[in-house]
Amino acid sequence: MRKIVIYDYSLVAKELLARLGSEFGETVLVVNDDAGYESAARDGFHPILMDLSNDENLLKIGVGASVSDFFCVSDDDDINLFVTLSVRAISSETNILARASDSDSKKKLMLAGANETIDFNEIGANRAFHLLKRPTALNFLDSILYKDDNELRTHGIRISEIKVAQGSNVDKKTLFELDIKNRYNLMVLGVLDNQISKRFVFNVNSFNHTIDAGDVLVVIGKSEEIERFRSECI
Amino acid sequence: MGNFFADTLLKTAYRLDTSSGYAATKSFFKNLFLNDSYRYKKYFDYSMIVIVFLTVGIYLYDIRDNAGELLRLFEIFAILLFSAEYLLRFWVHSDVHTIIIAKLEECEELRISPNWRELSWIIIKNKLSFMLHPMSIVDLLSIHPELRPLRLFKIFRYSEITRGLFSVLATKKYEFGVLFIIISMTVFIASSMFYVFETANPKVATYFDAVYWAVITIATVGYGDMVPSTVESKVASIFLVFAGLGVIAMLTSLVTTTLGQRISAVREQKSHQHIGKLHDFALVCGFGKMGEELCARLHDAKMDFVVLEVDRNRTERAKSLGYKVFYADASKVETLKTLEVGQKATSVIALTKSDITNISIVLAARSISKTVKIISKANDTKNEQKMLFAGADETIGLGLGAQVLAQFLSSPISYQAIYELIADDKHLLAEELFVPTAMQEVRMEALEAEHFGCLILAIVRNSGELLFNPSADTAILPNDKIIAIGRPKRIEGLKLKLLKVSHA
Repeated sequence: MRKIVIYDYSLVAKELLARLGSEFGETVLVVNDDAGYESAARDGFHPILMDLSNDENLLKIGVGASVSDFFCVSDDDDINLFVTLSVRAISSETNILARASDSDSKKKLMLAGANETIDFNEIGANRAFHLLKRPTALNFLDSILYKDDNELRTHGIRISEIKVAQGSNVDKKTLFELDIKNRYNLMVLGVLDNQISKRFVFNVNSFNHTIDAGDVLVVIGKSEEIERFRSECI
Repeated sequence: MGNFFADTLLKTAYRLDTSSGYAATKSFFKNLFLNDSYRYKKYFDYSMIVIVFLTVGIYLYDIRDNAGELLRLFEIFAILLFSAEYLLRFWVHSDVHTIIIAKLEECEELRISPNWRELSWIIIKNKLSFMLHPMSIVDLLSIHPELRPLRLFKIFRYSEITRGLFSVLATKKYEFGVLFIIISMTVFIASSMFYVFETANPKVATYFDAVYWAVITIATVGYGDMVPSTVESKVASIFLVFAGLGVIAMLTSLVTTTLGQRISAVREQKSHQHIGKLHDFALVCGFGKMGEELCARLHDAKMDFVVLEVDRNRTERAKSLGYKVFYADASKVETLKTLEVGQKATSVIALTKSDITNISIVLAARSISKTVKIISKANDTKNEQKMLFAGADETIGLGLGAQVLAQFLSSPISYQAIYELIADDKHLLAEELFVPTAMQEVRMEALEAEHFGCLILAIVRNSGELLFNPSADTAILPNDKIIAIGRPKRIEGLKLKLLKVSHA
């Protein structure tokens, strides 16, 4: 069970709360000031009013213990930076995602110990760019990533991550031998190889990889076929 | 007799009016001479400048040394060229046949016989307005070989920069006029005094000598070939020097301030002309953080775009990055019209920090063109619906960012993979390949995508139907889009291959 902390009530926090639901575990919204508390309460959330630039308060809500993920999504870059640094100082395990407003603050946040930073300006600009340059490809990626309805009739094609278990049918086999493309009608986008690196390697340039236990395959395809393949990997 | 003449004239005029060859030739020369955004005009201008310099150079050389036959031949060629140019300019200045048609048709309708004197006067007046233009007079005079140095003035016609400079100075016509009168008065008074009081001076023979002395003195040049010898003319000199200081200072400051104020306008005009050359560009409205990111990506991808911004600092910033930018309000229909939204601007992206402004931009753009692609940023999610209602094709909202955050939590590896695909176009990209309309049917295997190291995810049919994971015998049809993942160079290779197999 994960415990997710979202710090400070902003428009992003609101969107995020609406999307997260209770799918991933317990979500806790912490707000900094009365105004944030009131607007969050008005929108139907149950926030905790607490100043998280204080280390004691961080410990109190469970950072370093029960908190698995921490979202810093305040509108103020400096607050995000400070809280990210404080959380990382207490716990090296917590998964920290921070919001940045430009590439400068992005770098700072990464230095402060954020696992991932998200720059909405960059995301928006990227999206606008791809909408201009390659709308169909973007639409396709959208439809496999998000379960939103889409103008492309994709017939329920999703992206999914499959972890390979020790001694399963695919362990120690190459992608070529498995012929996933034809046998399962799935596309292997790439592999996260836990032995070599933590990096994701794409299945391009005549990539032929021997799959080991612990690898994570990212596949695209219909849910039922993904499930069929997943059962082979256990 | 008169009727027959009128009929023939009208028929000829009609024939000219409907002849496509005539119109094309005329518009070609018109563009060549007058249209700054015409592609070949600059080549014409440059060659004319070179020829002008060559002929003047030959003239200067010929004065002391003998230029020789070949160079004289070149002069003849130049004379022919300049004469032809003058005649062509005379020709394209106005359309006589349309004047004739308009007049004669009017007469026919009113059933009166045409007033020939009035008609010829209109035509002559029309062409005279060309002939009496200072530039045309220079053109005509400079054809004569003895007046060759005059040709240097022709350069003003061919050089965009000097023309811009003159147009800037022309905006302060009144101020320059006043100053000119003051200078003339000062020179007149001083030279008259000098002329009167220096009657004994043998160097001051004519009134012109006195004017020459006054001008040389007022300009603080002071050659010293003529000097005042009497007390009276020395007083005149003192008066002239003080008056001159003031007048020259005024002139200098007028020129500098005018240039300072107006040079940005000239630059703007110039970028307007640059836009004339663009045929398919994106209009980025608002140069905030997101706007800047987008422009950087478009710039990297070598896609044409124009920025509109109402903040001076941001316009300056965009300018310093080398982007085409206008200080203009994108929510004004007038602004969007001058940028030819729908025709040349094929997409409009509203990225200001105010949703109200963005909606206003969307509405303005949609009101001009039904087909232009409109993308609008929604700073607040609740405005997305309104933007779509106003006519936006796509909105970019915070929801998107939240979606990405949630995605990161649920499936971090897929997120990383997809992020890498969309982050930039340098390492790896998901691209769509257009299948040409005119192509013969081929199967997937003909593409040999594996050979190119590309992963073909799907084929999107023209109808919008998506074929995921196409097999080797799947047919590729005209107007399909192929979604492929690969390194940029490899994707390019695949594109070429697609063109090759489709035309085999």
